[in-house]
Amino acid sequence: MIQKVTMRAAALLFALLLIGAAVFSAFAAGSATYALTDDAGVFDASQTAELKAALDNAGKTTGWQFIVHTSNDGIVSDEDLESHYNAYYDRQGFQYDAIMLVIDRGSNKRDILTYGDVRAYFKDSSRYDIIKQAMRPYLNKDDMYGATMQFINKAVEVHDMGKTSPILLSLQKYGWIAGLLSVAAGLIFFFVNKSRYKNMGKSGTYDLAANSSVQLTEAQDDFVTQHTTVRTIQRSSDSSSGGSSHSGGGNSSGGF
Amino acid sequence: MATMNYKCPNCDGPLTFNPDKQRFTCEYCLGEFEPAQVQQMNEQKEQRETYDEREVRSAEAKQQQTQAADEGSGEYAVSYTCPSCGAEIVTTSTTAATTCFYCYNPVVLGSRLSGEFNPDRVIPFELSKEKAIERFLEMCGKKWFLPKGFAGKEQFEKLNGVYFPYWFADEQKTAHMTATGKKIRTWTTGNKECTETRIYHVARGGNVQIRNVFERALKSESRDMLQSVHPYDMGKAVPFAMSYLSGFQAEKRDLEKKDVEPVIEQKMHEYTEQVLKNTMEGYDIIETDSFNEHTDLAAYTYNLLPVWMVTYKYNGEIIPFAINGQTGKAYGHLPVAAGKLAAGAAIVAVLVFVLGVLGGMLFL
Repeated sequence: MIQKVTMRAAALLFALLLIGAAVFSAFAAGSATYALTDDAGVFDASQTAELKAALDNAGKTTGWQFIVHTSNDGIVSDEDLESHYNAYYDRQGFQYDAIMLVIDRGSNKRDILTYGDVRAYFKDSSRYDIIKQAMRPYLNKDDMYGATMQFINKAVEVHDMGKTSPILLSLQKYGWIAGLLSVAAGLIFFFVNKSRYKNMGKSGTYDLAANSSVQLTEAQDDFVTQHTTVRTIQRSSDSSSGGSSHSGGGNSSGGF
Repeated sequence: MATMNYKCPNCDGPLTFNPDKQRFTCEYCLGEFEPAQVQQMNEQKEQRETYDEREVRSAEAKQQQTQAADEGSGEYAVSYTCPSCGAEIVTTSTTAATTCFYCYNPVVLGSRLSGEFNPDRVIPFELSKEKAIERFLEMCGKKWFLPKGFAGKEQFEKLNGVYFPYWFADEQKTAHMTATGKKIRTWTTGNKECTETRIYHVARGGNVQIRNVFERALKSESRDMLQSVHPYDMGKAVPFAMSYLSGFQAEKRDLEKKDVEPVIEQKMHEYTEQVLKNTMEGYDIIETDSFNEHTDLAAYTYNLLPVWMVTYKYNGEIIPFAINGQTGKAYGHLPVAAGKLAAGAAIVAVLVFVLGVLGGMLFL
């Protein structure tokens, strides 16, 4: 009897814990499909409502979390902007797969940051440019609502384009190097073989070791002097001090 | 006129030297004879022919003078009578053994290799024609870019066994050399790389023997070909006997010792320096400061060495190809099918491109 009561109490406690965790999670991250924090007061109430609907819709379509965050932080440097909002992302406990538009009214800078699986869609940096180009006319008119709507629409388009193929990406980035190397390799192959066919059997005609002998009558080895030279080794880490500024595992489009 | 052929004592058929068996064989009765036996059988005949050579040579000299004056060239043709069928055999001035174009019997032109032109040594063929062709085809099998049909057996039906003349020199020298030797040691401490160089004065002196330095003795053939078909194992050379030429072609020298001496002496000089340098062991760098040598003994010999040779025409050009008749080492210019080679280069280029792109994925 006591055992039964204990088991029920444990099950109840476990269920309560699960419910508590879910509530806490929802409270911390907001909606699973989107998050909109307008700390800079950029959007009016109707715009906010429309944006929330669009963000929610985009989040449901893509399975990503769409985050729009406005602030008056006044961060000027692109690197600082990226690390600052990566830290913000970490603090807020957003979804793992997310895309975040940051509008810093203080510095008049914008940035698009991607996280988790979303990064695979943006490995080709030109995809950021698709969004940026669509946003630019609105930004020029200081129409943040229009720019944000463009961000949402174009991000969905990028999602529909699928993940960037690593091969295609490598081809875009390193194709010209591989092309040059392949031409060089082809030419070397051609001329080396041509030369091998032309001069076949020219070497190794005389074996000096087998056809010579020496009887030494004098063998002197006198030490004359010695000198030592010292060279400072330039380590690769010396030249790249400062390192990467990424935090929170996010990728940035670079401020714009 | 001063021609010889070696006949089978059993059936009077022509005897030829068989490289596989290292014996003389008769293709009619299949008789086989040791070289010493054939030499003994033909000794008297060779001597008689040699005696006749004086007359032959004076006739040749007259002919050479007349033709050279007429045509302004050192090359002239000489006609002989085949001892088997009586047909006229026309050869160049340096041919010493050939085959009658009518009865296909081997003919040795004794006058070309007697007296002052008598070679000191000969290396008999060790590689038969069949094996030479096999070696060649084997080698062609590994060459992907040969023109189609080039490596067919019919291409090599014309393969000829030729004894080419060479000068060989052995020298004993007293040599002395001084040099600066450097031992270099490198180590790393923290971010410092230290290089220590220890410098020595090195001296070596002694008696150096250099053997078997060779130079072709025939100017009409490509020097590259005649030099590159080496090395030969001179330990297998035997005293010259005319009978070894039976069944093959042979050339007599037209370059004298004085013609090749400067080239051979230059090689001797370089080799002697190299031999002394090789005794300066344990150094990373050796820079010669002084070197002097004195030749104590020098011996030049005139030798005939076996080569399987064929010429082929490709793109209007006649190209020689030679195979060492003792070791099978091949020398020559092989034709390249430009299309095949270009396709091969394209495949390599594509592979490198693909590997480059795949490798690029590691840096994304």
